[in-house]
Amino acid sequence: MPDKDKKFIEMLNQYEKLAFSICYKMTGNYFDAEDMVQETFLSIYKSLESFDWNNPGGFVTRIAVNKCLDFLKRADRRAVPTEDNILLENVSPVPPPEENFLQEETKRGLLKACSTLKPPYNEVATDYYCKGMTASQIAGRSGKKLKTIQTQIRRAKEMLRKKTREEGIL
Amino acid sequence: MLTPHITEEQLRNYISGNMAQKEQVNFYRHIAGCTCCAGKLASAMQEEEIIYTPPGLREDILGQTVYNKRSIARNIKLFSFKSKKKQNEFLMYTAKVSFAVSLAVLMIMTTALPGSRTPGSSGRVISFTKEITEKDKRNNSKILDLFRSTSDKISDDVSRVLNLD
Repeated sequence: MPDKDKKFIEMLNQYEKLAFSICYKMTGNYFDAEDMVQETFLSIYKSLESFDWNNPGGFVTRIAVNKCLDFLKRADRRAVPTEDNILLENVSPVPPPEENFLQEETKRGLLKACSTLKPPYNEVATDYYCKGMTASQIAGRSGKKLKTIQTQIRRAKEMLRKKTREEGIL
Repeated sequence: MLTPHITEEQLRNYISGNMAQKEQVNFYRHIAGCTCCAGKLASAMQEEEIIYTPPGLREDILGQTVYNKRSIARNIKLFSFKSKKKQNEFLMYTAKVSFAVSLAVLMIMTTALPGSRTPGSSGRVISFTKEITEKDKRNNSKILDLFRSTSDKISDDVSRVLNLD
């Protein structure tokens, strides 16, 4: 494996959670945050030669913030034409963390939301979001193809996104 | 438009959730353009509680990047150039080579002829026997000159292009 890929994997391991936190705070939605994290690291990988290895956390943060700002601009345009300086008005504020509040609360919320989906999405979503399984692990256990599971996760995510946005949860 | 760097107080307010929405916009806008302050935010946030992230996300990201077949193709040195300039030079080089090859093929096609074998001499080399007209000779020499000058240019280009570090 090329050196740059090894470095990228290491950096991803270290800063994925940070990126997720920022994206969650900015978008206000768990599943939008997930998308923004993906976009962030994809973007970083595509231009890996310009990554600042002296300040990896800062660089990841900067890209994540930019992606989320773009996302919020797009979301705003879809809804109502608003002035630039009230971008975040439609975003519900995320409560500040209180010990393990955020972790437990999030997990509870995810479990509840996943269980409301119809099968097979409820099971796949619970495995992915609550049991911490990866797509390949889910595929291996259920005997289904990886592509099938990936598609099901994507669809489940869309349903969860819609639901959580509507209900203003997660 | 440069907004001032973020202060410790702002950072504290942001992390504790006490920053007003409008202030957040300017906050984010500054971070979006300043890696230094982004680094400060990153350090501060890493000390706070991190939200639960689905482990499958990591695998997903790797599948679209490191383990993506198309990304692997991009790693092949032949197609990764240090700059657009080198890439353009390479493209010009391939264009010239293709042109030279086409010329050569053209030449061969205009001068090569059906040969005639003398009876009873199987295995002898076919000899070319055509009446080459004066015009053909002139055209050929023009083509040859062009070919020669192009190949000179090509060898110059090759040494330049292959100075890819």
